[in-house]
Amino acid sequence: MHTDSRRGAVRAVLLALCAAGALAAAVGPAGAAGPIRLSIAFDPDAALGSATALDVTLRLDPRRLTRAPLNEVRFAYPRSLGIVSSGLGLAVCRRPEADFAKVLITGPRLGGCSPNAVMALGTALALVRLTNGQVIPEYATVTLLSGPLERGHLGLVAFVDGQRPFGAKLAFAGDVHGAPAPYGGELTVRMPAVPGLEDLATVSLVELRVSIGSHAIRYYERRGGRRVAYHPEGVLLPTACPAHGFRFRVRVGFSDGSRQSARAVTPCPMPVAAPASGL
Amino acid sequence: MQTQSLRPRGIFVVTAALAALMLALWAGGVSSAEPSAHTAKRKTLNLTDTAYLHLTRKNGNVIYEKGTATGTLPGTVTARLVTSVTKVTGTVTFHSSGGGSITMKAVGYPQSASTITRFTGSIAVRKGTGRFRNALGSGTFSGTANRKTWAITVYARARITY
Repeated sequence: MHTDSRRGAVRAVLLALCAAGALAAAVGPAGAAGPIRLSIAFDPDAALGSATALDVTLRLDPRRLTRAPLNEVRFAYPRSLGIVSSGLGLAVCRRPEADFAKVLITGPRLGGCSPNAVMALGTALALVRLTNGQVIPEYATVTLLSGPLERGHLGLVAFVDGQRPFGAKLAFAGDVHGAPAPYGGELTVRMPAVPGLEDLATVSLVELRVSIGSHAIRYYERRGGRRVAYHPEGVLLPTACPAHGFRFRVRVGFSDGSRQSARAVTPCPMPVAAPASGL
Repeated sequence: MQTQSLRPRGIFVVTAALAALMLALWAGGVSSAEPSAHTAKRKTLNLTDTAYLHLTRKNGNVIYEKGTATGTLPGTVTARLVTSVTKVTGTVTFHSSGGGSITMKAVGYPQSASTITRFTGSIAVRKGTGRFRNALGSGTFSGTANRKTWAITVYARARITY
């Protein structure tokens, strides 16, 4: 019985680790030749001056990367993108420090945080290599929530919810801070190592897809005494395109100290018909 | 003898008067009995105003607001605010109902990340129009912003000379 529960816990940790890795990768590079690739897309019908979801896809080639666990992902976005001015992150998700880097076997959805804190939804795929040589793909959903404002940084909380075959839940802390031009800010998610896991398996993030301002996000507000759901305004595009397009950058760090980075440039969408209004 | 001794002094006085006049004309830009903007005594305005702003439009990370102000300098207010992760910078212009306007550079820092967020910051006055065309000054502000509607209430205090 004790052995079964330990195996279950290990599986949960593995799952969480996979999910964490995926979350961290939420930012990416543009070059097709590198071991990591980043692609960014706006809504197909996005126009300058309008709100859009920002679809971030990060792909990592585990054959060309260290097997050390991913421990940090940094995603920089263009200065002119309206993330703070969007309708995202209207609530604060606070988690105790003990929740980060541990497997949350049980717990309410979003760890009990308000759905109005959700900023991005996504999925992750990781490969779990067990010590016996078996490689198991693990799928997870990823949710990124706004955290508290502390020490001049906006906090982030990332939930990784393993779907199959392990099914563990992990929470990771991060923050958003300023970034030098041409970037306006950088999202960082840190994934500390889970003690003992490295002796059981290695987890390699293969793909992370995150949609900031996803159309699947639902917020809730009170109207006439009733709780009403609505879709928050997504990332706001400027009315004019920055020179050379919208430039993004992802930097990932591994527990052995190695780092990789990649950049992506997203071309301008169509010219705007009318400026976006507040609500 | 006396006449001879006074002649050089008289020439000196006339020359000095002409030089002073030319200097005055050059410095003041105009002849005038009225004092120039540079030489006039500057007035001091201890501004204490509350502004109520609402969103007019957004452009990426820039939000545009307008509203009304009450207090020392009642009138209307317009603002262009550049949002970033941890601070908001921009220009705020007070259009006094008594005439003239004052434009301020503002830097604000949010104190929380919730829907209704408090902020504090500083302002620097560097220009104006009308009676405030030579305005200079600085001050502080605090307030609240509704991040869903971008309705903003600002309480500002500044010492301005003009």
